[in-house]
Amino acid sequence: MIQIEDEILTRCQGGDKAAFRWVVQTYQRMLFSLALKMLADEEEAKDVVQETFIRAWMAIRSYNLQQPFTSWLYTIASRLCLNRMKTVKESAMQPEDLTVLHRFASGDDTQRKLENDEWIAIVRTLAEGLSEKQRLVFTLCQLEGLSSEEAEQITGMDARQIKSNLYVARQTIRKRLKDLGYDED
Amino acid sequence: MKIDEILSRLQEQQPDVNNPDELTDRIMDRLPDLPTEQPKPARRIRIYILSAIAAAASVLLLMTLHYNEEPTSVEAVAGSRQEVPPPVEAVTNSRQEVPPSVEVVADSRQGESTPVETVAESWQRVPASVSTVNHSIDCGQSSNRTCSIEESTAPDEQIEYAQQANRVQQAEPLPEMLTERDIPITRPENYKYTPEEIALMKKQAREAYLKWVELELEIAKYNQEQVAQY
Repeated sequence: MIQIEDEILTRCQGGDKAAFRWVVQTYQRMLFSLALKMLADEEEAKDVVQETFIRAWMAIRSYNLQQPFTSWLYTIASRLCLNRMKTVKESAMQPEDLTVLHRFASGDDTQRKLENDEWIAIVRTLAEGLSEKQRLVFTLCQLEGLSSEEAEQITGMDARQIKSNLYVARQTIRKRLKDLGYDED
Repeated sequence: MKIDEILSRLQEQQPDVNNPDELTDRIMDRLPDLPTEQPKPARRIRIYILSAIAAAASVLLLMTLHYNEEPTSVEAVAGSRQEVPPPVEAVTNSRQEVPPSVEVVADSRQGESTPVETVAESWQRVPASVSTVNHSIDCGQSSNRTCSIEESTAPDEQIEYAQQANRVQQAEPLPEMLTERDIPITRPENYKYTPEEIALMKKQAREAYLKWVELELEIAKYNQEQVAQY
């Protein structure tokens, strides 16, 4: 897979749009997931995904094949998300968001896949009050399941900053869930 | 449900794009064409420009040093003047050798019915070569040059040269002859520039150098454009 990816990325660096189409189809879901959890807006998330791929295409020749491609894409997308969070006013939590969270947490149907609207409601509920950096680190490490090293590479923070931001974000969310009546242990 | 369980379940799920193909097409439509890679300017062009600049700078430096050079000493100038006399003496000697040959010619032809004019003409022709040698010394040139002058000399001129040679022969002692090199203003080592002239020359050299650099840059730019077009 890695060898195929390297070949495709090499073709992309040569200006092959067909090869880049494969890249877009493969990685758009990953980027959309990050953007939706960060921005809590489906259209904004799609715009960020689009902008990320356009920037990646424009800078594809400067991409080093030794570097993980997903980290490179995550870096572009996370910076675009942070920029957009500064310009776009964050939508406040709605009363029905608590209902969605409660339905998810009740665990009646654990196999049920969350819809995008439900994701937005849950993220709005959990991430309220978090700073942009805390939200980014929490999304990358907790929701996307990336390692601390990958988060360091993507965000440009050092290990201590990642650890402290993640700790504060977790504590804030735990407190919030506890306030909403969920058990801590 | 416990808090940790909620968080772990969230990690297992991932939102999806509702219409991924539409988003893919949207992205692909907005992708611009990558600019074609510009070939890097040939290294040899840069090396050529740098070496040309270095060569020009060194030439200018040498010229400046040469013009600012003071005459070494009076002795050196005097010594250079003393180089001239030996050929003059040689000419004097050669001149002294001429009359006997005339006499020989006259003696050898006394018994014949040869007209006197012929003898006189033959006598007059001989100093022509002397005068030519004398001329060659004045100019400080080689014997090859002397031959060519001798060959191209017309008979009338030869006569004039012969008369001149006679006059020179009679005027003893021979005065020291001044050559073109003895005129101070034409001798670089004697020419001392004033500070204003040196400043003017430096200014002109700088201006010429700047113009030259501009010209080289234009040439390099033109070459790059030509390379880029191909």
